[in-house]
Amino acid sequence: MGDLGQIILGGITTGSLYALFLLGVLIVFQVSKSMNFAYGQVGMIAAFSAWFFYSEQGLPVPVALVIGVLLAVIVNSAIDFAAIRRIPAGRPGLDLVVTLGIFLLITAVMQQLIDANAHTFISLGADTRTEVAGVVVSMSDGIVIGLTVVTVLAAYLLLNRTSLGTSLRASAEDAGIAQAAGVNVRALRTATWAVAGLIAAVVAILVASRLSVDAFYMTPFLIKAFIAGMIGGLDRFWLPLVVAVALGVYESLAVYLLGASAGTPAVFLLIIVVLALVPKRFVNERNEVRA
Amino acid sequence: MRLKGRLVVATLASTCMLFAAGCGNATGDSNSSAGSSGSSTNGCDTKEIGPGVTDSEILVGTTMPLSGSGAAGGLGTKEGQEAYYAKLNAEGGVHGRKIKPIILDDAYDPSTAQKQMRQLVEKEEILVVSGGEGTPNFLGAVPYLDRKKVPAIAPYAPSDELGGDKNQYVFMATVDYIQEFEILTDYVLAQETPKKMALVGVAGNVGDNAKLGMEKALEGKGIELLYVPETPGTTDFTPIATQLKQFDAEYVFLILTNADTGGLLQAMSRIGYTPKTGAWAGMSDDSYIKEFGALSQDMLVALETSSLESENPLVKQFVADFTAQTGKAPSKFNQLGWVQAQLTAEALKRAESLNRGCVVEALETFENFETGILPPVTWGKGDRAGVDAVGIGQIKGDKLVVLEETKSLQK
Amino acid sequence: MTGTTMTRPRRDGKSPAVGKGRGVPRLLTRVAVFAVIAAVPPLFFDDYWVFMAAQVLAFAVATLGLDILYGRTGQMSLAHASFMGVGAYTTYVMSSYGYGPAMQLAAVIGVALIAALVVSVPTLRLSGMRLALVTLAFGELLAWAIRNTTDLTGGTQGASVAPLLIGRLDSSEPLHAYLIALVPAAIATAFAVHLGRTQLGRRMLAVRDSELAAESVGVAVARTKITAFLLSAVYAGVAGWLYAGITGFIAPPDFDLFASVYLFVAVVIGGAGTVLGAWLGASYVVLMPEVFTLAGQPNLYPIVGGALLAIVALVVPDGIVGLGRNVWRRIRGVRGDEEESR
Repeated sequence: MGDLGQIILGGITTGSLYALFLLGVLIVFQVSKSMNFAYGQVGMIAAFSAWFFYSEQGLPVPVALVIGVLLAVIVNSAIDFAAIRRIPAGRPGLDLVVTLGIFLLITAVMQQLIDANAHTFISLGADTRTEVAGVVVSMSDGIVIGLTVVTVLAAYLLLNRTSLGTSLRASAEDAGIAQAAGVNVRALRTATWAVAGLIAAVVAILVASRLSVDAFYMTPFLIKAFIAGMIGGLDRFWLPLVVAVALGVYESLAVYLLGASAGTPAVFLLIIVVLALVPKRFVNERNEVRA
Repeated sequence: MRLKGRLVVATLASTCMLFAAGCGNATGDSNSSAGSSGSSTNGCDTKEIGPGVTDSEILVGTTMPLSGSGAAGGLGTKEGQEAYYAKLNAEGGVHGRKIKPIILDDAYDPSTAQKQMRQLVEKEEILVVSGGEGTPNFLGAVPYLDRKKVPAIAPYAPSDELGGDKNQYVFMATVDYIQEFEILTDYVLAQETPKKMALVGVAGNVGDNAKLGMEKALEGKGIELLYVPETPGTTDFTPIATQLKQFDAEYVFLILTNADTGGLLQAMSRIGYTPKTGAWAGMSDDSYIKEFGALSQDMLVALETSSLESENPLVKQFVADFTAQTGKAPSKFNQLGWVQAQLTAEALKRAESLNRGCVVEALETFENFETGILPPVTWGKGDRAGVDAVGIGQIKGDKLVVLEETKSLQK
Repeated sequence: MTGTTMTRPRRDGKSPAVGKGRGVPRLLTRVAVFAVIAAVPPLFFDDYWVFMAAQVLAFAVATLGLDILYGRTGQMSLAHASFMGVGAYTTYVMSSYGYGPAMQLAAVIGVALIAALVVSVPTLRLSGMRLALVTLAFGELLAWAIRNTTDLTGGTQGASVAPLLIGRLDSSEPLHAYLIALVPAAIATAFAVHLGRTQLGRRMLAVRDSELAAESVGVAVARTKITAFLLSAVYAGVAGWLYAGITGFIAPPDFDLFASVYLFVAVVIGGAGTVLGAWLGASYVVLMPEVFTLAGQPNLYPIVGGALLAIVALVVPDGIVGLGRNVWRRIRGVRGDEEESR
């Protein structure tokens, strides 16, 4: 029983990381209707450069972390400003191609600027642990789950209970009308991308503290977050986030119960089965988007 | 109007082609065309001079991952080769000629590696392939090299595909993972008799080979073995760690990337499972020990290259030479690159004439050739394995302690 | 010319073929142009470039197939390279059992069709990103299957494939490989061009533009989508067969998610919805790295390739074909001005 609990805890923690990461994808998608393939690499910039500044340049850890997070925020806003906004309307798939280019660019630049090795990151509580009913719980697990719950709730309240949220949803629905109603659509959009950069940075730092950091480590998280988002629907809020957590748990259980090599097929078979069987109203996307 | 449209299209297409053409000639007009160059028949024709050889220069080359997820190893190996050739050229080169290495990026991708190898053989016209780094990418180029009969000297591409009867143009200087894990397991068995052992390996050939090696060593010993294949990019190591904890092996062997080794060890320590560990040679690199040493205390590590702290005078010489060349201490991959270049240069030195056939014959004369870095290298007619031994080391603090210099399979 | 409406390239070619009288010379012109371009690589280039040209041919077959699915029918696939992998690995398995090219090709087409049916039928009602996700899942499952069948497929370290031997042609020779690949590439191109003029081709465009509207005018949306999927899978399978024969070595990374994304990139960069765009896109992804090699900076491409891709995509949002059209229009416009002023 303790083992199963351990697996489920691990799954929830990883799933929370998927969910938090997906939150960044969701808010960007809802405001700009575009997918950012380079999103994982934005997070990687935060963690990898933070590592570089504290480990190789000797800066204090908090300073390095702040610099890393700021870089991610700047880069994510710059991606929107320099690229996404310049994509003409009605070119489905172009956002994917452009951000794939940015993905490759960021990866190459970080490898050139820092290096191609994997590095350990500060542990952020992964070493502090207690045992609860046979399940080892580390402080890192608590931080991840707690932060995810708080952030998601805050985002929900912000979007649904404040006037800022109303403006956001209005500009997501129809930018033209929102603009006419006096909403500063551009500023809101930039702010959204900046916040998404912040979220990516936080997730990447948490992931790095649990695994390690190099120029590639965020890609599996990006793919899992996209999967959860596509199953749940990128235009919804709760469903995709719940799917993300469930995906983490399901994946861990599959690996544990069916063996490590069963993890991949289990996840992808689930996708096919779920998408082939779920009721039609869940399958229909409200805003049909190609790409 | 539509016809005109078509014409534009045709013009565009042909300009594309012409563009490629013009440039193609710019680099491609060196004397002979690729197909005819290097008519390396089997055997050594002492009158023939191979491609890539001029009065002052010998061109050699290879491909390595210099970008992408495998770049760390490739960049280090490249640096090692370049340092060795720089030193050799400063001392006068080989047969009065300087050796010029051309190392192209294959991004750890097999089809890119083959394409780059074609570039090297057909456009740059290298004489031989000098080393290489990375298994799947290098294997991608092997059928082509075989067809073109270009000898490849000491690539670091451990695989059961190479070093055996197949692919007679590839001269290996490392053991494959079957041998490496058999030797590593033998070493453990010589010290103690665990009841259970476990292996976590990259799913696919690498993990399968390591498993096969362990099974060979454990055969008939009544020791239980659990094999857990892992897919690179695992986001949560808790299930694997829990599975290992449940099985409760005394020894867990690992053959994973640096990052995944670190991730798994961290997950194991998070749930309070700390068995004795052993790992493939990748973990003997400084970059691993520096980053993950704290998680890897007392880990046994196979040593494909000698420890840099070894008392062996040849190793001391290498460290001094490398530092003199580059102004910094060598890493494991620097060491690999250096020894690849060293073996290539030695083969060129021994070749009666500078062509591919004679280089092959020269390679077949290597008998217990001491580099100090690798176990003694032997090649012969039909023997392409090079070495059959690894050393055994152990991570202690931030150092790698050598337990055994070379341990071979000949018991 | 300011009043010129910006027609989207993908809307072109929709109009049915003009009078038959003009059709024949047009066809002849096209065949002649194709033949002239096809003759360029073997006549003017050495083996290395002929090999690259052969690769362009194989990739063009793949991108033509993806263009049928994405450019014309509007269905996004992230498994196109995986279907190439299906073709390549079927070829490998068939050839290791000693079957020749004809049997290989038949098996490739058969397996590709079956795989495409398995993927497409249950997911008919999906579209957009969810369909993309299912294709992605298919790709991952294929990669997993290859990883776990080392004895059959060579596993993660790949497998070397015996060259295609057709008559006196041996695909391990670049020139022969080029000639072998030319035939399927020409057929694939001709078929794709022809498809644009058929009922089916028009149904596909209708499905792409609006499934709802297509359905309301009586287009069998599901059947059209499946047909497009099957066609594209066969194209990809044949491309995989050629690829295996030309390169002589196949490995899982050749057919992974990134490879699929690159094929997608090729279609978009070339110009989605056009046959020529598919060719230009295939040339871009195969030849762009070579441009850097020619410039003497072979190791620079991985570093700047991404930036280049983003810039190209932003500069030519309608693909190279769209750019060509714009340039042509402008040239004509300028000339028109001059003529008027005279």
